[in-house]
Amino acid sequence: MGTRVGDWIDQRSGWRDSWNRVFLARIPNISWGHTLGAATLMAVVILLITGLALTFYYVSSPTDAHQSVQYITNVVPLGWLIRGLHHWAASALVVLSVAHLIRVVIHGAYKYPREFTWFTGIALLLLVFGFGLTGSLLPWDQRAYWATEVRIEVFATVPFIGDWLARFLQGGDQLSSLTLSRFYSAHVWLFPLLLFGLVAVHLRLVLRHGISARPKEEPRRDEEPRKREEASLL
Amino acid sequence: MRELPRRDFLARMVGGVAGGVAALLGIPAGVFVIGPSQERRTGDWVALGTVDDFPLEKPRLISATVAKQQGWVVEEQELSVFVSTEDGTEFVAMSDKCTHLGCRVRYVDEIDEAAGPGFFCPCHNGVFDSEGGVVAGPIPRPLDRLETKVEEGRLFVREL
Ligand code: HEM
Ligand code: FES
Repeated sequence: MGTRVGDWIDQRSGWRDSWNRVFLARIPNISWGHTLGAATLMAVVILLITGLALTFYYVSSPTDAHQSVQYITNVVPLGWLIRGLHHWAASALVVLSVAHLIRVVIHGAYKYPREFTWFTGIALLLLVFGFGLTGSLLPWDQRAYWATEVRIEVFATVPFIGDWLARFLQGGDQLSSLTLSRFYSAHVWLFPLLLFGLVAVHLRLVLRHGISARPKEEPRRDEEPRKREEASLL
Repeated sequence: MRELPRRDFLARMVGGVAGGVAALLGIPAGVFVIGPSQERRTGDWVALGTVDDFPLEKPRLISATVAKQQGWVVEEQELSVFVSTEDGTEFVAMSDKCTHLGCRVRYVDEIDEAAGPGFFCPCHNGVFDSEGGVVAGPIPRPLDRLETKVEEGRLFVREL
């Protein structure tokens, strides 16, 4: 930001402090794998922007849903692009969050004191699946309908509460306009709110703990003396 | 040229890439949201009746239902126009929508002694003459006209 405007705002907000704490933080020797969390976040940002744009035209009623999606794809300028970006970023989000999780496992970054970061991560992963479940019904075409039907059948097999759960998801005893309506609400209101809350906590924790050092990558402090010792034994 | 430290160079690169990505995402999103909202379309021809449905003495307010394609929905809308004619062959069709802020105007036989007959808008006392021209009040331009045509004794109008 232009220094003078930047200074003026900084004196009244202290934004440089926060900025530096995030972007000039000291970090250990990191790998490409460490960029996966940021890549996941980027997918979230793309989904937010394209998703908000899509709600300008999408209508979640059984008579309009499919046609509004066709309208977006075929008539609205760049509609194909916005819808395509939302579609592919959604797939990328699943792949990236799992890849990020695997990186955290490989580096043992879930250990003390980062367990709670891990828990918020698991909640985020569940949310990502929730977005996938609710979002894929919204085009309201044959594929959306039957794929959702199968997924709800899967929930119905959960012991004891399966039947209750399937009815809760459907909003009744079968997949209907009530399902479309509640999936839409979850997809654009409930889940995004939860997602941003959890991402905020997740990132706050990452800043608080700093990035974990890579196991074995740092030179062991006791290595040198031991070598000397070994040498002296010879 | 002044030497650019590696750190500053990288910071600028990151800033540039971030700006590029933001533009790459923001511009299409903007275009999408604006969408077809700025398209101007002429309406379809709408039949209002036969030529002798319209009196010569004063304009007649007539409504017709028109089917309009709005997005993916065909909506039924009401179109109301004042039709006036002097000889029963040449017609003038005027929208009844005030050009100030869109209230509906009505035809008045005598607005006052000076002005004679005309259209009156009750919202801010706008006055148009019987041709739709501006007489008094805050109205910026004459009443909007519709295109007219007569075919086989029937009058058609079309929104421009
Ligand atoms: C929407 C999904 C997610 C977003 C946006 C996100 C974002 C991030 C970011 C930006 C970091 C910084 C370090 C890095 O990139 O590796 C991070 C770290 C971390 N994430 Fe995630 N994450 C998500 C999901 C998950 C999941 C599914 C898990 C595992 C269950 C997880 C566990 C962790 C842990 C333990 C760290 C600390 C790593 C360390 O300190 O080395 N996150 N996350
Ligand atoms: S709307 Fe007709 S005069 Fe203001």
